[in-house]
Amino acid sequence: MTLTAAAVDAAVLDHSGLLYHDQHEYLHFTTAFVRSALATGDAVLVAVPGPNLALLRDALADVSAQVRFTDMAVAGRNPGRIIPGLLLSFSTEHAARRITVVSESVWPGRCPVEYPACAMHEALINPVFRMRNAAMLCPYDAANLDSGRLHDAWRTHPAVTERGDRRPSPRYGDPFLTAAAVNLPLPPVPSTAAGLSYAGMSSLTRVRRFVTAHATAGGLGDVAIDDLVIAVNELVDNTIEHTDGGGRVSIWTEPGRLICQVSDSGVLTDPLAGRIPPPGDAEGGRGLLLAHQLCDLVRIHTAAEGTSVRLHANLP
Amino acid sequence: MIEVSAIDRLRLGDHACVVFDDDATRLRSLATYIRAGLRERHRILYFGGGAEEIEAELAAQGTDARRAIADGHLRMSAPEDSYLASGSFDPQATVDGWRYESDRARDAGYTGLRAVGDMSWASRPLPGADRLTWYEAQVNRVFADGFAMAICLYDRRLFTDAALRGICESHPATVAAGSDPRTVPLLRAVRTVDPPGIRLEGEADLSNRGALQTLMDHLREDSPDRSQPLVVDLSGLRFLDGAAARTLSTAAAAGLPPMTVVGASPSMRTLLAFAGEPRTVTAP
Repeated sequence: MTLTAAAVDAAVLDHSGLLYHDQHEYLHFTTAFVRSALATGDAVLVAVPGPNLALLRDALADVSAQVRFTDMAVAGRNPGRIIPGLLLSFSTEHAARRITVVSESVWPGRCPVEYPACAMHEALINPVFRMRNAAMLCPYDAANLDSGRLHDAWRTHPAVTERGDRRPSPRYGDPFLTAAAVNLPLPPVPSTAAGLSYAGMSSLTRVRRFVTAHATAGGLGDVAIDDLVIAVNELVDNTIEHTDGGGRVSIWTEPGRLICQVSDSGVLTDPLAGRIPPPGDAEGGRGLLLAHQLCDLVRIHTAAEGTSVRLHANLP
Repeated sequence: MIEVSAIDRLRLGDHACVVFDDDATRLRSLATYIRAGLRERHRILYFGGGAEEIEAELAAQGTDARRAIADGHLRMSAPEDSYLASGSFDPQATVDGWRYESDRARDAGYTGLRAVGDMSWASRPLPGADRLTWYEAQVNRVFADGFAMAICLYDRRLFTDAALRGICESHPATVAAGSDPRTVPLLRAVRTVDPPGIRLEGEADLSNRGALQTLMDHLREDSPDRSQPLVVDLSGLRFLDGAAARTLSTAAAAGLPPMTVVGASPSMRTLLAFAGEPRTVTAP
């Protein structure tokens, strides 16, 4: 028998989807999952969007002291932040224990622009937690999500529970290939976007002034401007340190958000870049991680001819 | 072309890398810098060639260089006759030399020491020249006490881009063709006495990463009173990048008592928290 990727993952990580059709089903399976984990001494995190969080808090009121509750719509607003900021940090915090997580990163209200980042996130959980002792249950609102989302749930989870029946997913595939399938060209930069080409260390101050001026004009708040400038600066650092050439910053607004794209000739070879904090003493490897931390959404497209990183900041 | 107003923005405590592309710019920058020193009653030390040319340029701008030399305000000598006289570059001895000259200028009643070095010699295969970036980073520790300042003249035609990048990173500030005078000096780092610590002004980024790293790594040993908690004052800092936040956070948490970081903006506090040193104490 050949050991499939799914079998290797199952050896330590149990990452499964839950396709639920109503509130009763949702509560039945999620609370059973949490209670059995508590019974075996796991550290338990429940990270689901606001309304479901309220439901679960109520249903788990008797054991709430032993469970960490987090609003996924806040902590996981940027799907790229969930692995490093929520899951890995919880795992590190409870290094000696198995962790059990109810993680609902996809919900009907998720903006379509955010969704590809969610699918990539769910795929990358598999390699990131492959060697960790963890159980993750990812609920999907099967009654209200479209079939494409549910199809992806089967593709990104080695096992799926539906209508009380848990079975290995026939569609689960190599998570890196699944993630690569989401690596699609970004929608074109609008012709009305402001742009600035840069090259070399001395251009950093010019880039920061450019982003500050356009983010201010676009109506972003002071702290969000500073956060965006830091994120852009990190990406420009990456261009300077990892490519032979320069790059281009473009900035524009769309309804509800300000968008800033950094494009250069570099190729992102590590699909996990920006998902795993490097060791404490490592010099680099933190640029994308910081961008995920500081922005509301980060979309990336990398190809042989170069990489574009699109940072989104929600307008107040 | 380098704007002279950029050179004129430098103050005691600054250490700037001046990258020039042509001899006329070099001469103009030098004359501007020396004249400012004479106005401010600094002792000025120039290490480089072409002394006569500089005297002529100063004379053309209405400054009597010979008189300044006779009075001891200005000293000009070739590196080969001073810190390279042994035929090799000893970076530690050269750093110590700046401390000595700084003390002498103070004792002689000058308001500051203003140094300028033409670094063209470093493009030649001289023993010790490979430790140039180490030297440029270490010498910041002398200028950070706020009594001395320096500009280092680098001829772009003599150095590779990669070499210049490492050299620039070791200076808190770089002035080159196209530099916006308003961003000069990009970073100013001056140690403080009350409270003991360091005050950072400007922007800390990739272009001055090595300078900040060295200053922070040695802040404890360079501070006269090591029993009190040192204060890292960021209230004058406009920008801090992720690596600089890690540098501050790591230095602050290393040793006892931990340093306190004050004056950080909300985004800087996010960065410091992200840098992951829980012992870093931040205060508004």
